[in-house]
Amino acid sequence: MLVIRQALGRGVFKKYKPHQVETKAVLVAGFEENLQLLLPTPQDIRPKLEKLIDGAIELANSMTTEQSFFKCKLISAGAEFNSRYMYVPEEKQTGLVYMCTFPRFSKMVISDGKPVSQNLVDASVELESVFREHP
Amino acid sequence: MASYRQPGWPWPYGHQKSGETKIDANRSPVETTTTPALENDLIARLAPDPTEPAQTDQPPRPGSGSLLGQVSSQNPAPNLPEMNLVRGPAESSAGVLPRSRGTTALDHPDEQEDTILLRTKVEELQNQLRQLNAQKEELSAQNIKLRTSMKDVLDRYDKSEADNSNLRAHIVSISKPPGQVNDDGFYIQKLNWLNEFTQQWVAGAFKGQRGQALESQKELELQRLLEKYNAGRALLELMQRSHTTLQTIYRIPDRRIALVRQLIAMFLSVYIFRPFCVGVRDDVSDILEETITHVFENGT
Repeated sequence: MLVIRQALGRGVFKKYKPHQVETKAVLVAGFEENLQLLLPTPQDIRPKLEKLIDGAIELANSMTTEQSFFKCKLISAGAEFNSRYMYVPEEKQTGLVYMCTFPRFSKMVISDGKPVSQNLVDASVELESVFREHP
Repeated sequence: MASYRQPGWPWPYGHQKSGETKIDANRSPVETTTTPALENDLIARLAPDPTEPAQTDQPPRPGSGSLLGQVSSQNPAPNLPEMNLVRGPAESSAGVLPRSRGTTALDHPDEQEDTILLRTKVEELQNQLRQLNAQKEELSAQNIKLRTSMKDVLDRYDKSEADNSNLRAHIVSISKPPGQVNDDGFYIQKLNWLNEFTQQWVAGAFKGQRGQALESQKELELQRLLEKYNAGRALLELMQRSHTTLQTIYRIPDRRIALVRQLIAMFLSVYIFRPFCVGVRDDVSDILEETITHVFENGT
């Protein structure tokens, strides 16, 4: 199954790799435009943004052509906190998940004949209490 | 001559008498010219008859007493096979001892006993020789067998060495065995780098001043942006429930940073990591992802 997944991924990657330069340019432009809404002071964020997206695309391509089945999941706001696959920067935070600042990455494996999710990186989250308090 | 029959008669070798057979000391005593059967016959005939009175000093009658001379001339040399005895220098070329017409060494009982003993010894030696020959043949057969076996072993060694060489060459030539190209640690490290890089960059670029207001136009655009995505809509719903606005979030740097990281995480997830491959259209990606997920979970 994983070999088929890998073969399919490699075939698709071969087809789309020549177009990824263009895709990257579109993504950088779109990210930049949206993130500039939240910039407190005007500044050039493109170099860092390009570096970030370059690293992300390179990693995603490795996953696409890998003989594994990776999953990326962004935790939705309002979800219950689960320490098995979520990480909070401060332990004193309480409440529901308010924001997910980095998605959870896992790998699907077959265990006892059934597909199960094997955690790679926990999702980084901020809980409700952070946004409830008033300064 | 009657004294020849008496016990204790001295060994005549070296005391040659006229008319007696001269025996060379260098000559093997077993190489007589008579056959064993004939000798036994002669010994029986020469033995004194206990019923007859002893005859002393009478020469043997021709044709009746000492028949050795006649027998020697009438019978060919005895055939003693398998005996490689060295002939003495005094032995004639015919291998027959010169004999007189009178008495012979066989006329003496001691000589007769010695002859019997020697004959027995010869037979023992012949038996030993036969055994040794048999052992030699057996060892020779074993030697041939071992040489054949050794040749087989050497052939197998050569073949194994050639196989080993081919196998090594094949191992060197083959590529990495099929399986996961990069181990899990590779992906964990890359993902952690991505997270930390984003965190540091956003913390530096979007910190700003506390209490800084968000322009209304930007707030509206931001709200529309969030409404496009599932995660964004979920956030807006929770904000509404908790009586929080984008403006209040933006005023506090830590919350603003969290919101920026939420947007980046959402973009990375939707446009880079969730698709089957970066750049694939959403509908194609969805079909591929669904197919793979279905087959993976159901096996068909």
